[in-house]
Amino acid sequence: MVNVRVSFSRMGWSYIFFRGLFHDLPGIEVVDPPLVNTEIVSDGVKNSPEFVCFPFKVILGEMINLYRNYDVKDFAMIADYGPCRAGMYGVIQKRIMKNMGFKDVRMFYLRQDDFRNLEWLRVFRDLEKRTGRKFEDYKILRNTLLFMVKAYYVERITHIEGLVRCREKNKAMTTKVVHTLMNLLDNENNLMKLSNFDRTIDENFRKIPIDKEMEPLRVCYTGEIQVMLEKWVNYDLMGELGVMGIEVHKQYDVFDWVMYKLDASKRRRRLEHKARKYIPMDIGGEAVWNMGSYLESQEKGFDGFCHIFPFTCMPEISFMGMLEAEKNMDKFYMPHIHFSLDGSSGFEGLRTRIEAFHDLMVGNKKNNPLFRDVKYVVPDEIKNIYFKPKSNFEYFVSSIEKPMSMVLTMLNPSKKLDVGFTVKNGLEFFSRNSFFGIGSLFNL
Amino acid sequence: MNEPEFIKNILSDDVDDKLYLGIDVGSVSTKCAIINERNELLYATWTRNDGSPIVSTQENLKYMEEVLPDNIEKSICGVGTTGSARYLIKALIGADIAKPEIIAHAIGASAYTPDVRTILEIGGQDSKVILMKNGIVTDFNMNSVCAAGTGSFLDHQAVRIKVPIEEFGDYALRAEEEVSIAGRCTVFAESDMISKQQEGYSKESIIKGLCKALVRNYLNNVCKGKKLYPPFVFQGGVAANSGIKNAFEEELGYEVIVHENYYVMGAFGSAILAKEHVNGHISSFHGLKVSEMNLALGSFGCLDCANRCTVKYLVRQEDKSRVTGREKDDAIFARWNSRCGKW
Repeated sequence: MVNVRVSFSRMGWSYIFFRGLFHDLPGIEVVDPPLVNTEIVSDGVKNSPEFVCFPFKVILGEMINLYRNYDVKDFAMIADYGPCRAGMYGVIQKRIMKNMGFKDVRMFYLRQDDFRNLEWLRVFRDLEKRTGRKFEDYKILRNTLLFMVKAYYVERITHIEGLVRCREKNKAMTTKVVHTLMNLLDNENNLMKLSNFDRTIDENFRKIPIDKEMEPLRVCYTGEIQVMLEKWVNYDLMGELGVMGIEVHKQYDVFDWVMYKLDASKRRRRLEHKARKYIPMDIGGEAVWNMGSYLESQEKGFDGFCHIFPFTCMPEISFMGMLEAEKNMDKFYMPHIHFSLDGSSGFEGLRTRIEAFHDLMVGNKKNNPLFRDVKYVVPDEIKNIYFKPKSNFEYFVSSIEKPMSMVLTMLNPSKKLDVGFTVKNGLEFFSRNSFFGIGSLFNL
Repeated sequence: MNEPEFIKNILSDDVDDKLYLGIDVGSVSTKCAIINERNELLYATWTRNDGSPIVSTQENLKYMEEVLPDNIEKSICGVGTTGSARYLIKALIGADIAKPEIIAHAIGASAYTPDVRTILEIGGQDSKVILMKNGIVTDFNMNSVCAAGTGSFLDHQAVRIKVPIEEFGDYALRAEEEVSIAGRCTVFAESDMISKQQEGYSKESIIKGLCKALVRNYLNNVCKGKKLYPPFVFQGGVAANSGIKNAFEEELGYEVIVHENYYVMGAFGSAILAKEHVNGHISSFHGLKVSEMNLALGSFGCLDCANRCTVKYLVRQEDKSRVTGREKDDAIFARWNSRCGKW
C-alpha cells in the first residue's frame, strides 16, 4: 500500500482532462504539470537525441523537471503502434531517464492504438498493482467519462476562442474569459453539472463585447497536435493571428484524436476521404487530415492555411512537399504558410512571416476574384452565442445529440463518408455482429 | 559618422512636391529612400549599421539634414519603415506604417517591373523568394533555419580570401574552370573552399564555384519546389554581385533583371506603402530633430491583463536609471509592443 504521485505532460490545456482520468482514485495523488518554460525545454533538449522531433524533447524536459522538483516518479504516457514514431516515445524517455540516474522512474502506458479494444484500461490495472489498492469499477467508468467530457469542453472552448478573439472590442478579454472557463472546468467533477457546461461556456463568452458586423479573414489552423496545443512552443500563434483580426479555425484537439481512435470521428473520416487522392493512408503526424483540411477550407472559401510542425517531423514535411507540388498544378490556390518550430526558433522571424502572410491575404481579398467574391458565413458558434441564443430545449437536445451521434458513427460500419445512421447500415451491422446468427438471415 | 557607401541624390534644391520617406533597417545595413508623388526615386542611401539601428538611423537623418535642401523636413508627408528593426525605428521617428520587408520588396519590385512574377531577394542575413501574379503577392518563403548563402557569408569569405567584396562578381566572371563547392552549410562551404585552394585552384574559379553553390542552396532551400515563372527580378545587397546573377541565369534558364536601385528596393517599397497609407492625412513623423537625441532602449513586463506582453520603450539616456517605463514621464520617448495598444 503506497501513495503514488502521478503526473503527465501538460500539452496546453490538456492537463485538465488527464487529471480527470486519475481523479479521486485511492492512493493516487495527481501532480499538476507546471507551465513549460525555457529551463524545462533546455533540460529536454540537452538529454534527447539530436534529430528527434521537438515534442519528444519538451515532454522529456517536463518529466525531468517533475522528477527533480516535484518528487514525481510515476508518469502516464501514450503508447501506440501507428506510423508515427511518437508511439514509442514513452519507452525511450523512460530509458533516457534511467540512464540519467533516475532509477526509480515508472511509466504507465496509455495504449492508444485502438481505444475500442479496451487495452487502455491496463493503465488502471498497472496503477492498482503499483498502489496495492483496488479501484472500484464505477470510479474507472466515471473517470473515463470525466476525461471524455472535459476533453470535449476544452476543445470547444479553444475552438470558440479562435473565432471570437478577432472580434473582441476590449483587447485580451477573450484570453481572460478562457482562463475563467478553464478554471471552472478544472474544478468541476460532477458529471451531471458538466453535462450542462455548454451553457456556461456560451454565457461566459457572451460577456465579451464584440464587433457584430465584422467580416474577418478566415484561416485554417492545423499542424502536429503537440505543437498546436503547447503555447510555449508555438508562441501562442493562435492568439497572435487573432489579435491581427483573423478568424482562426482550429482543426484538431485531443478529443478529436480520441474520437478518431474510437473510430467515431465523422470529421476525420470526411477529411481522410477528401485527402485520399493525394495521401491514401495515415503516414504519421497529422499529414492526412492536414491535406483534408486544406481541401475542405479551400472549398469553404477560406483566405489562408497556417500549418505548424516540429522541426524534423517527417510526415508533416512530406505533407508540405506534396502541397507545394500540387500547388504548381493550380488546383490548390489557397495561400499557405508553414512554420517549423523548435527551441531555437525566434519569435521575430515568425512575426515577420505572419505579418507578410496577413498582407498577402488582404491583397487577395481586395484583388483576387477567387477570394474577393466569396461570401462570408458567420460560424455557427458565433451565431449561437451572440445572434440567436439557444433555448433551454436546444441545450438539452445538443447535450444528448453529441454522445448519440458519436455512438452511431462508431457503430456505422460504412467507412466511406460521414454518412448518417441509416436503416441499411444498421441492418448490415446487425447481420455481422449478432451472436445467434439471426442477422445472417437478412444476408445483406 | 559613417558616410553612406552608396548615394543617389537627384533632388532639386527647391522642393515643392510632396515627398515620402522609406527606411529599411536590416541586419547589416540601413537604407533610406525618398520618393515623390509619382513614385520616382529621388534620394537613396545605403549604410552599414554595425548592429546599432538607432544610431545608424539617427546618422542617416543627420546626413539627410546636411545634404538635402532646408525645407525637406516640411515636405515629407509620410514615413514608412521596414526590415527587422521596423517597430523600433517606427517608434523612434514616428513613422506612419511599419510593414514586413517581404511586402515592401514586392511593392518596390513591381513599381519598376509591373509584370514581375518572381522576386529573388538575398539580403544580409536572410534570403527570400516572393511569387507574384497580376501585381498581387501569391506566395513567399524565407530561409527558416539557415543563413548559408546570404550577404554576411559572402562578406566573410571575401575578407578571408582577400578579395574586396565589390570585385567578387568580376572575379567569378573571369573564371575559366568549374569547381564544385558544398553550399549546404556555411562552415562546410568554407572548409571545402580551403581544401580547393590547397589543391591549387585559382581564386576566380573558387569564387565562381561558391556563387553556383549559393544559388543551388537558395533554389533548394528557399524555393523548395515552388514553380518559378519569368520575369525574374533579383534584388537586395547581394544583387551587386554579378557572379550570383550569372549563376542564377544559368540555373533558371531565363534572364534575371537587376534594377539600378536594387540595394534600396525595400526602403523604396516602404515609401510607396507610406504614401498609400497616409493618403492625404497628416503624418505622425517627428521630424529630423530625432537625430540629436541620445536614446536608450528598455523593457518591462506588463501584468495588467492576461496577455502578459513585454512592453519596450525608448528613454533619454540620462534618465534611464530613474525611469521604469510605466510612469507618465517626459523622458519616455515612445512605447510599443503591447497587444492591446494601451502603452
